[in-house]
Amino acid sequence: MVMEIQFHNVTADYKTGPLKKTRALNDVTLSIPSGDMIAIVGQTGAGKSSLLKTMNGLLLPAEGFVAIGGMKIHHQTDKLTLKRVRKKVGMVLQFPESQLFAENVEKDICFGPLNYGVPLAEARKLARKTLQLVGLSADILSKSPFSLSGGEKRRVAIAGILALEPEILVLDEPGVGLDPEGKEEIFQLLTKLNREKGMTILFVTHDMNEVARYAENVIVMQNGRVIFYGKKHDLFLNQELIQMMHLDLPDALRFQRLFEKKIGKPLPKICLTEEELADVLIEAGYA
Amino acid sequence: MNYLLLGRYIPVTSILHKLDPRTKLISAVLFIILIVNVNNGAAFLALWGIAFLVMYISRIPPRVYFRGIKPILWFIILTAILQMLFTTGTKTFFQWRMITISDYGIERGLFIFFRFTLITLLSIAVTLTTKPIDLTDGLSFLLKPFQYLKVPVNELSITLAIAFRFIPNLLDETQKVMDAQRIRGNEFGVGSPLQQMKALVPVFLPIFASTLQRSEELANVMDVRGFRADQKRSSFRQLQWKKMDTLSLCIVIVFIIWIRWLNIHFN
Repeated sequence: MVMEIQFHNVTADYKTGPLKKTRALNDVTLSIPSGDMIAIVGQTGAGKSSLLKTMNGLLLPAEGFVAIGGMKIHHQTDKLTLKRVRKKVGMVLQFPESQLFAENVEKDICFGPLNYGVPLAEARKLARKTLQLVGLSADILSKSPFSLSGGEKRRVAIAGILALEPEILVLDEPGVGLDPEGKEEIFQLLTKLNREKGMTILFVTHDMNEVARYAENVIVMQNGRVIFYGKKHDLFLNQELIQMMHLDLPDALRFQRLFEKKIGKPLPKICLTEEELADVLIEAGYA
Repeated sequence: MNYLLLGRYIPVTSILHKLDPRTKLISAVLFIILIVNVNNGAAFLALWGIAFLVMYISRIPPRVYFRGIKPILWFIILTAILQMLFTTGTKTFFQWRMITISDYGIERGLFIFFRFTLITLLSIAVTLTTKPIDLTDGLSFLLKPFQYLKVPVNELSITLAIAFRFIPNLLDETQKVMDAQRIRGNEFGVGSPLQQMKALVPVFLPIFASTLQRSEELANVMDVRGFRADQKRSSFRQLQWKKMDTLSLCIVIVFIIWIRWLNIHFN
């Protein structure tokens, strides 16, 4: 099923106090095709989280609208439509483990599907299936979510969202606060969901290595506006933009630039990951 | 969540913001004692005048104050209605078994309503214009005499300071967890009261868990840094009593005497 996400001149305000409002999104027009894997980058307060929240209806546009698979989110969308949108667009907030509450993992994962009227037996099946999908064994189903390790908790929380069987998954810094191994596992999972199930995935990150390694396209945001939306290669080759947005280069590309300066000539190919760089270096006879 | 005003400070510049927290606390307590004892229309009218005056000089729009009353409005109305229904008076308009509506009952009900709203408005005025940290400093200063009665004032004030400090965090966190559960199809404020209460379980449990964890961490950090609440300590922030404070307190006392007079005179 085609689930294109379209932003039409979306403006959104965020309440920062009883009196103050901050403009979180400023006239965003964007069209995200189905099945894409997109990283959203930008400095703190650029509107990355707000962009995700408008897709899920947690933050309603003040002006403009978001269209997702025939449904429209605007400033007075009714609760029923929002609930339907939330079923289609699964959202994983920052530190999603803070949503765990039930006495055991199974009940926690079942919570979402049950809210959407899935029968209990089927919800249980879903819990097993998604737990397996996120790479955890079925014996933790009866454990308390509070007794798990940090990485396990996060994966259970993500399983809780996947159990809704969304077609689009948006994640706010899914890797933050995990050890490198845990991060790797989370992103492996996202890649798998994207490739095998054709799920559209958008994730916010600050780590350019994650962008280089896992994303296909990148959205760069600043002051609530989308500054760049395109292929990750085009972003990293645009030095002016990288500098203007205070973005880092991925480690591999930074190494390549330094290396090229030393040998005085460019390598045959732009490398974004360590593996690519190693191959190119071997091919060119430097290693 | 943004409707909860208790313990929230709005930073604007006004005379009320500049006053010493002790002045505001003493005035608020005096006014509250007065409000509880007032029982005629003229005095209440004057008190409403003073309430609006306070709102005006605080330079915070009245709608913020009234939003603060909202959460307890039904409680106040219920109390007032009960008072109205069960008080007998000289003129009875309606009677059915225990229930009577009389002139005196209506008056009592209205007064109760005024009392609650006025007290809430004034307390909100104090918290809106005083930084929580100044508020606790002021409170612990005013509580000092109770030390001689073996009340652990220092411990109490540090507890209070910590409690105030974490209100915004708790609100933020509540908002976050509510969002997280909303994503999973949990709906708030929908259905029967029982369903509405049930919908809050997935919010309160994670918050209890994280609050307990956080307090444990905080206690450890304080221990590691050698914090002892029972020791005598100097303070980085000094409360300064200015001429303006003496003057304000005098004005407050004049107002209070005036209202007492109205109260007795018009009875």
